[in-house]
Amino acid sequence: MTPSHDQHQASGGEPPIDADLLLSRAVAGDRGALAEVRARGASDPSILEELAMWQADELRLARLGRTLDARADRVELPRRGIVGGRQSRLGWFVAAAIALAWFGQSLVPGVRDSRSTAQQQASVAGLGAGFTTADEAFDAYVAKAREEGLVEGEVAPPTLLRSRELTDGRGFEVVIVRQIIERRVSPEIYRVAPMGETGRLRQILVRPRTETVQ
Amino acid sequence: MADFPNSRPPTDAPTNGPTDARSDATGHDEVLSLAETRLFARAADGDREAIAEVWHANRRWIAAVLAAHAPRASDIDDLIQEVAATLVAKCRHIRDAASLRGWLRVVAVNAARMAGRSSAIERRSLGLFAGERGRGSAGIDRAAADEARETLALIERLPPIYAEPLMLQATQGLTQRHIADLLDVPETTVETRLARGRRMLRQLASECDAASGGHSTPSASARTATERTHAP
Repeated sequence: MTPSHDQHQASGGEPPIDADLLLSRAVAGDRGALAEVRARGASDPSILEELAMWQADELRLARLGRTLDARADRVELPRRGIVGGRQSRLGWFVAAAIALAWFGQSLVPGVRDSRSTAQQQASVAGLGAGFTTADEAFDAYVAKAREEGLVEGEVAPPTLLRSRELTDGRGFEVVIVRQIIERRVSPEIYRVAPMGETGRLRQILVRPRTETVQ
Repeated sequence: MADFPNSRPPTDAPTNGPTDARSDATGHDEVLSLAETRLFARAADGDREAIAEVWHANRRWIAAVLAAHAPRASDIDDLIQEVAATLVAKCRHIRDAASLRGWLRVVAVNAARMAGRSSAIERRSLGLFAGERGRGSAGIDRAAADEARETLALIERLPPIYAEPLMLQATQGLTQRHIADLLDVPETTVETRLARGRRMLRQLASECDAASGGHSTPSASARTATERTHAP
């Protein structure tokens, strides 16, 4: 077909129907077009062969459609929209998401604490009771340790080790390292130093200086 | 939802031709039923169930649009997921319920084009179809997966303006009027593009058959994403 042909069609004229247009209508189920093809086939058998090939293509597309449908049907709505997120960029995305979530919690005082309800905090006193998840227990530990001055903070952002998509459609498995900065008081510490000609490392006890020494 | 687009699953013998398309309705209001309008409005208000219903009713033709526009380097599963995520994230910004389908199409087309620009994306769309047999989750056998892969490779060689209406009609059973509404072009244009698309597909299939001695290997000569982007 030529552009002039298109313009002619669009203008509402009635030229002889282009063979491609006729075949296209026929394979799409237009009975009138199908009858016209059969009529033309009486004098030009090649158009019938062409129709058969076009119908075969149509069937092929229909089967492709079923495959695509199956793929589309497997995709359920995510709980939250992730604009621009793609599995192939998953590593960066997860890292960024973790970092954002972390900084969000760090920069907004009370966000983390607010998640610990009064009931949860109450259970900290008797550790082990009232936690339904490990996260709750961990959060309770951090909150309690902050109160006691044992925890100074958490290294942000967590380090992403690896991630993968779960095959059952539940989401993604993300393996990260969370590091807690703790402050402990110890009556003595050891430092390691090479000793003797062999240079073998040995522990040397270090005690705090007494008031007398100071 | 009303008869657009998935109330009538595509069959091996499509029955909705141009004649049906011209005669079943005349106005856009009839396409977008009152129930749909209300559903879209609920979705725009952030109603989770409504959004899910909108997604279920539209995801198949969205997959067809993605297949028509996506370069072969892209992962159609990822793209479908991306459109779903965008629907959840941004459907509240849709103030005109009637434009929701058009917006979904634009989201899908943009996602496919972005995938074409990204050089980091693994080339696995075609492999995924073959990979179906390993999962067995969709009941797609190996022969069907192979044929789907080959057919998709042919579609990828068509310029998107011809591939998209062809995919929407041949795989989803959309009428010319519905396709025209979705693409925002006259029906006559859709009909012309359908005829040209089918003719091009036939020629490509013949070339592949001739090149392989009867066994199609369309992926061997598939056009690149860049070529598709600049197609007429």
